[in-house]
Amino acid sequence: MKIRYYAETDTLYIEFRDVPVVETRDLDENTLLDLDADGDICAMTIEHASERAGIPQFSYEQVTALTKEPSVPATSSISAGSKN
Amino acid sequence: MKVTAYFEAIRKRPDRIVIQDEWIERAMQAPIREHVQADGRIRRWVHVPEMEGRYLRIVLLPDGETVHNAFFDRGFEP
Repeated sequence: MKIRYYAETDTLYIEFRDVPVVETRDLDENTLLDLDADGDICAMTIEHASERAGIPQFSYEQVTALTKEPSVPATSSISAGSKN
Repeated sequence: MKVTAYFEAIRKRPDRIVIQDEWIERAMQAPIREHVQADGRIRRWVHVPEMEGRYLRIVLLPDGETVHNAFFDRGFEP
């Protein structure tokens, strides 16, 4: 994934995959989608990014899958007795 | 031809590198349609017979002379 911000025009370009683009389509007046031959999105251009995408703030975090704790064997059973 | 940094970069992409300067100039000088965006940028379209009759859209900055984008617009209805 590649991200480029062009401060000159406040344009944000995000490339999801480096594959041949066959069509550029409007999502709205300030957002363009680039699609591959299967119609899947491969890149995006966001105009006026400082207003619409919070630029220049940027954060990236890779959240790893949590590893499961080993299961603790039951040491007592819960009895469904009536209370006195 | 004045261009923005974004366009300078994106025109190198394989789908855009085929777009000739002459066609962009044609769109600037003799568009078949023009639409001014809410932000003042200008869209102009031109018919390009050399590319199977596709329509090229260019986007100019409000100065009317700096090219910010150019691509073949499948959604354009003449």
